[in-house]
Amino acid sequence: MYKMKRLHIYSILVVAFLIHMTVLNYIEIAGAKPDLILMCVIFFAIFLGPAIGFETGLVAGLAQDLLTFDYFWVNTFILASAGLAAAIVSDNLFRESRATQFLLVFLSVCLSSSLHFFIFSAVSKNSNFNFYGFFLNSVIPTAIYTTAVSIPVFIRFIDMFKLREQDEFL
Amino acid sequence: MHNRKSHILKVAAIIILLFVVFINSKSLNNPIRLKLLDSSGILLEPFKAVADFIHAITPYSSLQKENELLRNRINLLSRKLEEAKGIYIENQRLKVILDFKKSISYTVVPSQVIGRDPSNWSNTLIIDKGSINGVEQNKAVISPRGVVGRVVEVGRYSSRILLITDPSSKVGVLVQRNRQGGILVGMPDGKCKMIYIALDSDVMPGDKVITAGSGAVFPKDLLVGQVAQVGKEPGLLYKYAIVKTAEDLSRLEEVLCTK
Repeated sequence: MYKMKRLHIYSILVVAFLIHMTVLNYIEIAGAKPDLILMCVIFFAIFLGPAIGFETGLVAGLAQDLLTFDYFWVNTFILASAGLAAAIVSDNLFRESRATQFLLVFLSVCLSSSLHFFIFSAVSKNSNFNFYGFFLNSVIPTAIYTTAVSIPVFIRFIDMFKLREQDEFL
Repeated sequence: MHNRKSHILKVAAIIILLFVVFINSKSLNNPIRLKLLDSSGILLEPFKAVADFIHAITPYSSLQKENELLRNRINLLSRKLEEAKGIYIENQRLKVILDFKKSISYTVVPSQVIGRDPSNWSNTLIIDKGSINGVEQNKAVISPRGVVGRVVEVGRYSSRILLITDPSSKVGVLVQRNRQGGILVGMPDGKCKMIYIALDSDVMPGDKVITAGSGAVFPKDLLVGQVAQVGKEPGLLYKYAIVKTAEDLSRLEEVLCTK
């Protein structure tokens, strides 16, 4: 397992929050914008393990719940679960493979958005939402966009924090 | 020996002198002179290029400095031009807001959008005006183009606006053409849907949707958007219409909070 300073982890999350709250709308494509916070949580989960994945998901979700107009526990629950699940899944896969990383980002966006939809529909008792339309028009474009953004971002993070496999295991 | 040499030199000098006089004579149009002219031209041409080059590079260092100076000035002017363009666009926007403010009967607080929701699910804005500026909770937020949303949280110096595209938002609306009523709800994909439209209603794409003014939040007859698509959910006793908002809510920079 790799190591990163908590200061670096939370600095990245703070920057992701700031971008989300200020300029992200200007890079919207066909109504979709990348989910940078989830992308960062998945990155930490893949490289730093289940404990950090869960912790960063929990903190980011809690911050999102505090800053958004949504049911209070929903984002905390979804991001913490996504962080934990991504870390557990990546433990059984070759985490250094780019394909694994991007597949995990794509699936995490799809699953977390779908979960959010079902929780919101159940809690608000709103029957006017169409899951198929939401999945096709919102979830898939967001997942593709987030995955596309994660390609250069992950490469940069790996280089920046030297998260490469050491020679000792060879 | 010495005399002989001096004689030869004298004779040679005389011959050269005669030759020079001969070829310089304007009245004589001799072929030797023309040949010499041609050959000197060929010989001089490369020297001319070298002379030109030397002439060109002599003030090089001063030209370089001047070039750098001019480049810096161009950069400065380009930056100023961009700033001026931004100010011009902002000025146009504020002018529209000012004209709109004069044309409406209720009091509004012009505010600037300073932040957005950090999650992809909710659609809210943070504005730079709060209770100290007279912003009140559950009041409509509009723009010159149409309805934006309502105030849901009011701080002392900033407030949160729930956009009409948020899944928690509900607004009573009418189709302007036939006064058909309905409820406008936000969708998780950032669109708006008008629900509870009677089955026999002839709502069609292109119809304008306005506020009904039935609640205490939104004033009557404010433009919300245009019907983009009409449909019927299976198993439900009413039609729905997808509404394209009049204002581009993802690019909003200034809004007006009603009082």
